[in-house]
Amino acid sequence: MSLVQPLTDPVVKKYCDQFAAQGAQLPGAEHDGIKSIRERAQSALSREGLPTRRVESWKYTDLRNLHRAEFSSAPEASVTQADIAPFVIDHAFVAVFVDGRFVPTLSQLDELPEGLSFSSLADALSDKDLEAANGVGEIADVDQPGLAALNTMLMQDGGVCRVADNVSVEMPIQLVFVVTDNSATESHLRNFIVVGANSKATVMQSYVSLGASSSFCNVVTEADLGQGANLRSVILQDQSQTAWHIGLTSVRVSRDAHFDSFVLSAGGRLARNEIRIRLDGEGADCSLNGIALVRDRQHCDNTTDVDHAMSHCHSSQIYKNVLDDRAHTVFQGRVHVAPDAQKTDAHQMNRNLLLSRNAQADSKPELIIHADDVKCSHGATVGDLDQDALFYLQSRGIDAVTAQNMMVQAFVAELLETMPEDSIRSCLEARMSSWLENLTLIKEAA
Amino acid sequence: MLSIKNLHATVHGKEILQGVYLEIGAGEVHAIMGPNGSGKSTLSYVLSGREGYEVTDGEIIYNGKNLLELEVHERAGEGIFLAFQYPVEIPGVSSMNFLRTSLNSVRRYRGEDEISAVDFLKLVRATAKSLEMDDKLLQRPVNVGFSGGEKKRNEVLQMSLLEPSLAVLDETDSGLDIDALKAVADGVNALRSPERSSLVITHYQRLLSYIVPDYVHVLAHGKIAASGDKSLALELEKNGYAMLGLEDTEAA
Ligand SMILES: Nc1ncnc2c1ncn2[C@@H]1O[C@H](COP(=O)(O)OP(=O)(O)OP(=O)(O)O)[C@@H](O)[C@H]1O
Ligand SMILES: [Mg+2]
Repeated sequence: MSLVQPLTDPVVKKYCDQFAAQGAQLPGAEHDGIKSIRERAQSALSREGLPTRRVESWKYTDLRNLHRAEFSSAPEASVTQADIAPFVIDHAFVAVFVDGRFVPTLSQLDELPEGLSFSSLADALSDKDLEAANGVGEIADVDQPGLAALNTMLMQDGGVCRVADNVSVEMPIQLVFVVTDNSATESHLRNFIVVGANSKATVMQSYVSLGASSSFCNVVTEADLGQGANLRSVILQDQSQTAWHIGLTSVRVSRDAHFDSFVLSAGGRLARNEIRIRLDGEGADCSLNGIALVRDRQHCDNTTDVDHAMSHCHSSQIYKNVLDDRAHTVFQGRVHVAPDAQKTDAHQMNRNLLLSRNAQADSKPELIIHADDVKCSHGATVGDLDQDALFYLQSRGIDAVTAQNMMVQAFVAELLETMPEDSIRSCLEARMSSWLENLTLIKEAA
Repeated sequence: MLSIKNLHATVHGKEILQGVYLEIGAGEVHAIMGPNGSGKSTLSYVLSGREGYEVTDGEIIYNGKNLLELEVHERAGEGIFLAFQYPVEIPGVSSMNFLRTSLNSVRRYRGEDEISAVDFLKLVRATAKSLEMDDKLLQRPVNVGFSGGEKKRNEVLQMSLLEPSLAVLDETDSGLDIDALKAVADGVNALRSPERSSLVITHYQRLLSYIVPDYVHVLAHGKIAASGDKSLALELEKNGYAMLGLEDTEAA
């Protein structure tokens, strides 16, 4: 059933026209395989259109303002190492993308260890490294409609990381996506991560802005975990407060593999961080955690969908949101347990801390359980700061702002504490602190 | 050092304190007793500036300063410390971080240097030891999972670290076993000096045999209904509040 009339939808038409005009310059245009993926995505997009609030999973997130905005692909911007430095974590392999294009000169990818390969998606799709692109589009189903289809149709660049079997990559790989202050830019990024059997890797994606110009970043990340593989994915979404950020992470987790995800979302006027997991073999396991820090009129949507396709799988989710001013957060957590997925263990929790009475947190768990021998739970809380605790701290000489910050930090602390990589944890903690520094004292009790 | 005159205070529009007069001189220990619900905790909250406790009349002068004009943390800086009747659990805030932030805040307020991490650790360990408090407790978040008695000891630990000039102890003795009671009393007595004063709220004579008060007051119906020396506490223990023509519990 189609919820919009895409052929008459001017936004869909705009994008399809863009594809018609620029398709020949997109990477992989000369390859039939890639061309056919893009065309299938185009037909899904034309058929189904872009999601409106009438689509169940987009009920709380309205894209109309995004569709009204005008974007262009950016002219080449000159960005220096010094511009990038504040966003780069210590002790990591770093791939830098500026306005949606890989910039090797800003990247630090020398001496990749045996068994780890990196290439840009643009290189991988074109002749340079076609092997690496093998499998792109298989995990985030190319026939799936909406923004993912738009992404597949127009995907331009991104990071392709491959880890061979039985390799443990100790240093994190960081993909830094910088939007410059050039003009209102649009980018359709595709990351592709393959972790071989019994291998281990950590990939961090940082989305940041230089300046305040508005931009639209549409990202799809596909990750494929082989048997017994271990992937930690960290996303820092910290673009300017005028940016639109739509991200989808689609993951296939094989038998006994473990996928660990952490999303810190502090930027953007509208951000959606969607994660779809398929637990595809017995003993597969995922842990999805996130923090959203939002203020002013920011909107942040965390949507997850965990498919327990096999038995003896485990999933746990903890999402915590801190909202000030008129900010709005959405948490939608869907867990699907297949009929044969006995001994499933699936837990989900969403906690919201409101620092203003004008902020709004929507929370929607959805458990669809077709097996009978399972342990599933979900919960959601919305509350303000504990006034008794605030008074207790202040009565010990701690001023009101510091007391409030200690309490907000305490609210999210447990999620950051468990991050094993020091460089990533300190980067996220620093972002957290700078957000708190800009927090004014709560004017009225929420 | 502390002068309370004609203090009226309301909570949620209900007048709880109805004209309290109290003078505490430097170095003195005053005890406040009184039936449940008579306003003892309310008085302690008004002293420390808790939101929602509205002073509608009267004044509180502390060391020459109008206390009612100061923020909660400033009052702590001025040397007022409240040991809570019900200490608050604060999940996620580590005890050590809390204690250090507290101590350094008060030090800054008093124009002193912040304490170094090493000295702080030594100080906390020594203080916990003197209170016979297991310092493993301090590896937990503030008061989280502490027993009733452990929470009370933790209050006294904080008091000892901050060295207040006026310690207000709100039923710090309730729920304590004999050993804990002694440890807590020792902690309070250790702070006694010609400059430091205490206001000890209690229901029981027992504590007052360890912390011997200079004056004993009875708060009833939001006013000081009787004052005397330590013998008043003994008489009340024997005869109950009926001897003052009061019920044991205040009608709401
Ligand atoms: N937040 C509040 N809202 C409404 N009433 C309150 C509030 N706080 C205190 N009161 C009322 O004020 C009165 C005095 O309470 P307070 O806690 O000061 O008594 P107390 O003397 O400390 O009693 P106890 O000996 O039981 O500790 C009580 O009637 C209590 O119900
Ligand atoms: Mg009380």
